[in-house]
Amino acid sequence: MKDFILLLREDFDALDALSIDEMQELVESHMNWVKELVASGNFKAGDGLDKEGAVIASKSRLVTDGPYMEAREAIGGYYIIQAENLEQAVEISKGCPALEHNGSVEVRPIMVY
Amino acid sequence: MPENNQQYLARTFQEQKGRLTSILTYYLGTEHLTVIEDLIQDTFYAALKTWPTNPPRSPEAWLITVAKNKAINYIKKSKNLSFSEQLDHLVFWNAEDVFSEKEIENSQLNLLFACSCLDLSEKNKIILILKLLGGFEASQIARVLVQGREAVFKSLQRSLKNLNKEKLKYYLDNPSSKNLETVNTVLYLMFHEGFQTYPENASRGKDLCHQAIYLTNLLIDRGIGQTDTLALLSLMYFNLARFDSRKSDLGSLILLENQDRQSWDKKLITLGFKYLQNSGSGFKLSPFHLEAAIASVHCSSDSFANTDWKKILWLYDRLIEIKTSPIILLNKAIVVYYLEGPEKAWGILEDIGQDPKISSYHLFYAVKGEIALHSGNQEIALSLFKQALSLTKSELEKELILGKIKEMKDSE
Repeated sequence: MKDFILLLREDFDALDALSIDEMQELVESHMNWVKELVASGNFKAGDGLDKEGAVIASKSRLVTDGPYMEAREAIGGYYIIQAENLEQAVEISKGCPALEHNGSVEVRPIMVY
Repeated sequence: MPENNQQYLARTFQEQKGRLTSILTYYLGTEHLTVIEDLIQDTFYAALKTWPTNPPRSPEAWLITVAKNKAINYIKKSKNLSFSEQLDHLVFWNAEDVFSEKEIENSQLNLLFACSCLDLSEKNKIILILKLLGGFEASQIARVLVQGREAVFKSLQRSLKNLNKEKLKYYLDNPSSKNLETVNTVLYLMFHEGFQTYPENASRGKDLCHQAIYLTNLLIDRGIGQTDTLALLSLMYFNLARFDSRKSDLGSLILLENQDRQSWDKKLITLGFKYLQNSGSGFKLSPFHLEAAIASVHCSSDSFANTDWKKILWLYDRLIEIKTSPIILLNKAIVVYYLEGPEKAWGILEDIGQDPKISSYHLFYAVKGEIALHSGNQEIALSLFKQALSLTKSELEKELILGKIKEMKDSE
C-alpha cells in the first residue's frame, strides 16, 4: 500500500451560499465518507483548513492575507489515504463529497525514497 | 465512532441555528444580528472542516462552544467599548455555565417576546420568529407560508431593521400580560400556518407546528404562561394528533368526515386533555379555551356520525361572545348544517359573505358550494366550487374540488 494525499480545492463562494440543510448534508456526507474509508482500511489522516491564512511571495517575502481571493478555488482541506496504486486512489477519490459542490480533488502520491 | 449519523446529529443544524441566534443575540444585542449570522455561518464551516475526522462527542456542546469563542474573538477585535461587560462575562466562565441549556431557553423566550412585541403585522412577526428562533431560511419560510421568496426577503429586511432600532431589552424581567397575549397569538398563528400548509410541505409544516409547541411549552415551564397559554397548548396537541390522517397513502386530501380516527395519535390527545384540564384553574376564559374544548369534542368522538354537534354549537356560541371573526362564523355554519340542515346554515353564510375579509377565502366558497349541493342547487354549487378552485393555492385542494365537480357531472 502506498500513501496518497488528496488536496481538496473548494469553491468558497459556493460553500458560503449553501443553505443550512445543504450544509448539514455536506458535513454528514464527509463524515460518512471518512467512515467508509476507515472501514475499508484506506483512511490514514485528514484535516480541514481555516479560511484565513497568509501567502508569502517569492523573493520579496511580501506577506499577503489568504485565502487567495482571486482564485475561485482554494485548498479547503486534505485527506491522506492508502491505496495499492494511483488508479485505485483515483477511484476512491471520486467518492469525495467535495466534488459535489463545485470543488475538485487533486490526487498525489506521497514520495517514497 | 457512532453508528449512525442521522441519530448522531439528533438536533439538526436548523434547530441549532435558532438556538445559537438566540443566545448570541442575548449577549451581543439585536443591533448586531448581521454579525451574529456571520459568526454562526463560520461555526458551521468549522464543523464541516473538523467533524469528518474529529467527530465531537456532543455536537450541540461543540457548536455552542465554538460559537462562543467566535463571539469572544469578534468582540476583542471590534474594540467596541460597549461590549466590555459581555466580554468579561463570556471570557471568565465556561461555555457550560454561560451558555447553559437554561440560559439558552431564556434567550429564546427573550427573543420571542422581543419579536412579538414589535410594531409589525402578525404575518411579519411570524416570518421574523421563524427566521431567528426557528433557524428557517427565507426560501423555506416562503414555501411553508405559500408566499413569494422576494416578499419574505423584503419582510425580513424591514423587520430586522425594526429590531435593530429596538435593541434587545430584557423582556423576561417583566413580561406584561398584554405582551404575553401577543406572544400567545403569534404562537397560535404559527401553529396554524404549519397545520394548514401541510399537504404539500408535510415535513416543513410539521417542523413549524413543533417549533410553536416547543416555545409554548417553554413559556409554561418558565412559569410565564398563564391559563390561556395552557389552553393554547392543549389545542395544539389535539390538532397535532390528527396531523397525518389528513392525507391518504396516495397523497390526496381526506376531510374530517372520512379520516381514520384509529390513526389519530392517542398520546397527543391525552396530552391535549391534560393541558385542557390544567387550563381550567383560573377565572379567565380565553378563545383558546373554547377552541381547545371544541377540538376535544372531535377527538373524543369515536366516529364522525357520533359527533356531539350540540355541544360543539354551544361552544361556538360562547366563543363568538368573546371573539368573533368570519372564519369562526364559517365554522359555526358547518356545525349548524349538521345539526339543523342546509337552510339555516345558508342563512349564516349569506350574512358573513358581506364581510370583505372572507371574499377571498377559498374555503368559504367550498363550504357554501357543499351546502348548496345538499340543498339541491346544482348550478349554484358548481359556480361556487369553481370560485373556490380559482382561489386556492394548494394543488391537493384543487384536486379535491375537481373531484367534487366531476362527481356532480357524473351523477347528472
